[in-house]
Amino acid sequence: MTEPRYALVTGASSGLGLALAGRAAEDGYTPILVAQRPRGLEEAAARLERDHGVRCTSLPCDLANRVELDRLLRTLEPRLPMIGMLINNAGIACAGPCVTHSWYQEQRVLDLNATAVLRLSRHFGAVFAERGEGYILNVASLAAFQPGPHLANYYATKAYVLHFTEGLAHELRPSGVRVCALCPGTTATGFHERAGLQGTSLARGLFGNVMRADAVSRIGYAGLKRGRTVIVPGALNRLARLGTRLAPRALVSRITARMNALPGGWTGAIVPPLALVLTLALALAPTSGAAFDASIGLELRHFPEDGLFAEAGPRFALHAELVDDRYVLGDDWLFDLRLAARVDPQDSSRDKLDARTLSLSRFAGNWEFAFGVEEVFWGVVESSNIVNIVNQLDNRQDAGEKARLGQPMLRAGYAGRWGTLDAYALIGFREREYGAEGSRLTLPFVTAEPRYKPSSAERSFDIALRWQHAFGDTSFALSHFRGTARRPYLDDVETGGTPGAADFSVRLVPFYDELAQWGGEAQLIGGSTLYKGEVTHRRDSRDASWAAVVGVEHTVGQILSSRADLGLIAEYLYDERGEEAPVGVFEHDLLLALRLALNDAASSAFTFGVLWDHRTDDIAYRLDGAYRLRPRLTLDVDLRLFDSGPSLSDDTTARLGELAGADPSRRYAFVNDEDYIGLGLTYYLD
Amino acid sequence: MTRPIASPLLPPARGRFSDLARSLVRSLVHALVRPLVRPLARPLARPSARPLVGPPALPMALPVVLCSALLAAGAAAGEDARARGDAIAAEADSRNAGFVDQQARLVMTLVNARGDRSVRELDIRTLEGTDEGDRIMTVFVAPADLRRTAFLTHTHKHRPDEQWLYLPATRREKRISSANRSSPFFGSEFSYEDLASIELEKYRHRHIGTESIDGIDCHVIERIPLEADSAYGRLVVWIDREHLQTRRIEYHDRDDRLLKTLTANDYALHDGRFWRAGSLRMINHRTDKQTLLEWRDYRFGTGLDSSDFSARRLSRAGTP
Repeated sequence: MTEPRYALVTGASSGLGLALAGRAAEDGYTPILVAQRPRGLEEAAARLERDHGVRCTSLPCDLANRVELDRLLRTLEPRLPMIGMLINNAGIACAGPCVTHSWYQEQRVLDLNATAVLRLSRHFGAVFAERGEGYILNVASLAAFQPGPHLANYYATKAYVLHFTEGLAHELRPSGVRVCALCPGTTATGFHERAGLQGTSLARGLFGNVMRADAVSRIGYAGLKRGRTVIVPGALNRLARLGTRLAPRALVSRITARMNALPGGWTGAIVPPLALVLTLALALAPTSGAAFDASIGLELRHFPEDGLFAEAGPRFALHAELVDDRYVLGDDWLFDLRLAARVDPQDSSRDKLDARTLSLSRFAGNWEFAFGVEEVFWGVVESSNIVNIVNQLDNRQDAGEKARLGQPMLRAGYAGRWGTLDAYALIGFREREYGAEGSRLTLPFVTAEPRYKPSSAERSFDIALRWQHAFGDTSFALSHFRGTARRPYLDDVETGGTPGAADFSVRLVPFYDELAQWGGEAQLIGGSTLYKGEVTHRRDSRDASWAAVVGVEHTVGQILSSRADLGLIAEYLYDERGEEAPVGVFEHDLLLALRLALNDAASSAFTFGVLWDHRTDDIAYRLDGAYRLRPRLTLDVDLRLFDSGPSLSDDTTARLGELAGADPSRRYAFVNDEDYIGLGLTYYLD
Repeated sequence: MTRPIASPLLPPARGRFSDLARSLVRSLVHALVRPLVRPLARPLARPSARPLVGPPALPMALPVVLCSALLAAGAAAGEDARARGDAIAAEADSRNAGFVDQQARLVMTLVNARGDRSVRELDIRTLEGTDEGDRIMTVFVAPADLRRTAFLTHTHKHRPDEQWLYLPATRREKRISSANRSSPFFGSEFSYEDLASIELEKYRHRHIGTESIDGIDCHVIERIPLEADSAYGRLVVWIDREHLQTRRIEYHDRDDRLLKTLTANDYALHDGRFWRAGSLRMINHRTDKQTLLEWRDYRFGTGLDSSDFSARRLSRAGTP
């Protein structure tokens, strides 16, 4: 008998359906593509053939139409013995209040999302059960776990799919058929546009977290093959599901209504994420038995000049942080949580909810173990810690390098007489995020979907090692990292339209290479002067190179007989690649900075720094100030000025021409107009 | 170069916290080297082999020179006052040793000339040194923006102390310098020097009389710093005659002008052995500012060991 190596995939012309068909093809199945639009099907089939070398059958069919569905099943009848997998992905939604839609519109939603799923699952379930094997994957949604105002019928159909699938899975399990419900959150497909949801918080994803169809399909397909019944891809989506279970249902409805409503003001964008954080905090507090520390803040930034993608003017954002690191499990295990949320109503690329830390750790004598999401700091210098590679930068937090995203990992450390050794298995990879249209502090073009070195895309974890030791006043560290580079190359572009025409578009394509990096750090203390240095040697598929940062920091106490202390910092940053280095690397730069601590009751402190590239004469100035207004209220001031040569052209074609030239002094012209002054207020709750 | 996209100009992430903390650091730098307010609240714990009575272990050369000069002048009385001063200081020192480890909460209140108050709260854990000096872990509890900022000091007898700072905003552990002792500690009227432990070897003492303070009979001792980087010309110390605990210190600058006065009150006996001041007040006579210290929840012998005072524990220093 022929092996049943055909996979029937509905809604396969684009998005998640196409991605799932690709997974099945990789797994050795020949996809049979079903979708309503014949043209989309042809393109999908061509793409699968190109990417996976598999020739698919395409069957145009409107699954919401009972007559067409009957015909589809008749057409498939002769091939039935060869079909071994069914992927019910097709689904539609109709945005807006249910009563404003026509009966026809809403019935189509029900017919396609529920009736067709039932019909196909029954039909193939019977065939597979008789055969004693087979796979059925029904695409539900995160929506299946909750009510959804403005998409009420859609949410209800997804709940139907989830419940039906779970029941069917139980019924068919004894016969060897694996049935699974995949429940993705917001995914980058054409779904939201087709449903009329563009611009809603739902389409932008919770805190701006939108998963790629590629990742969702990988997780979903792997789960199906492993025999899982319900799959929610993505940690944040699982967190959201937890939130909807813990929160009162009326609150869930209200929050979801905000998310699904068409954009009508910034409050809609802000309320849902903050409400989620609050709900989680309240839900978790009693279980941990520990008090949370929380802070909320307002950030106001004024950009006096027009940027490439946004106009001059003031912008504001809100942020919140939740910390709990005082919970001890059974005397040994320490729970550590640090959630950071940020909402920027004018720039959704800055919206973020990130678990900077969410881990359990344990000290056992000289040993230390940890697993979960952690933030790791390596380095000694003040300007750019080139050895610090474990965590991805949170590029949208500010223009600096200090904010980083949490990194899932397993960690083991041992402290001996010969120093301390830490070993890390870094699980999963987090992309660096750049601005979009409407953002400030962006690259010269917006970015496209990133590419990876294929070998790194397949690997599930990276490794890192670090040894550190101190001899008297000198401390050293040596580190090694092997895995996906945290900093992408940004020298590839994707263009659309005609050069010179108004529709011409350019996108930078980030490329994440595979990297092996050795790092060294040293710091020597001589009285009130610190001597510091970091050095790295990196090798990727393009080249190998050295980089170093060396510097001194001297502190003068009680300057001019006052209470204030003054720190003087000088550092030099070098990279062997020079102007060939990727954007964001300092190649021949000198940093000079003053740090003034007034030693007053308000803990006033100021830092002023100048960073100068002596080859290109680009200069950046930065002033930071902090002041405590009240015991729980702090004020920060943040001023950046960039002088990196004439601004880039607003015209896309001209801009591409300017950057294509090999003039290194133009490399950083794109930040020339990004000067800003920022004020921040942070209030600490207790 | 200017590349706002991916690089920092300067340290800060949430630049504010780290910068702020870092500057504080400096202060702290030296600061925690020794226990906060150790001389008074937790009088020097150095279980050294110093004789309880008799001549203290002063550096060799100095006493010899001084002695010959003074003896030649027939200043027997002065010699006697110095020996007596040193003996009292040494006895006071030894009375406070032997606690092994200790934990306490310190509430520090800054009061300016107008009466405005500003409060800091710190958890302080100390491991008594044997061959080397004490190890001290200090963690900020308040104000909230400094919470979890931690300092670790390994005190050494014959080489510079080692100090680390932990900045929670960036999860950065930093080895820092322990110089600049005369800077104010976090805006308070205490300098790092004031908060450090009194190493007898670093002072010369002289008994200058007895006086009663608030009904308590005290020795009055003059203490002269021998280290060049001290901010003071001399200190006058009142030590009660019964328990040998410090009751008051007057700080004079190098021109012998009175700078500050410290008073210690609410002494209590802990575990039947250790006298600790419950509250202290430092008044700055030049600025009329004051700093009040209040110690709470003293615990002794809680089983801490050296691994609790290693640099890698800094990030977990806020955990109970």
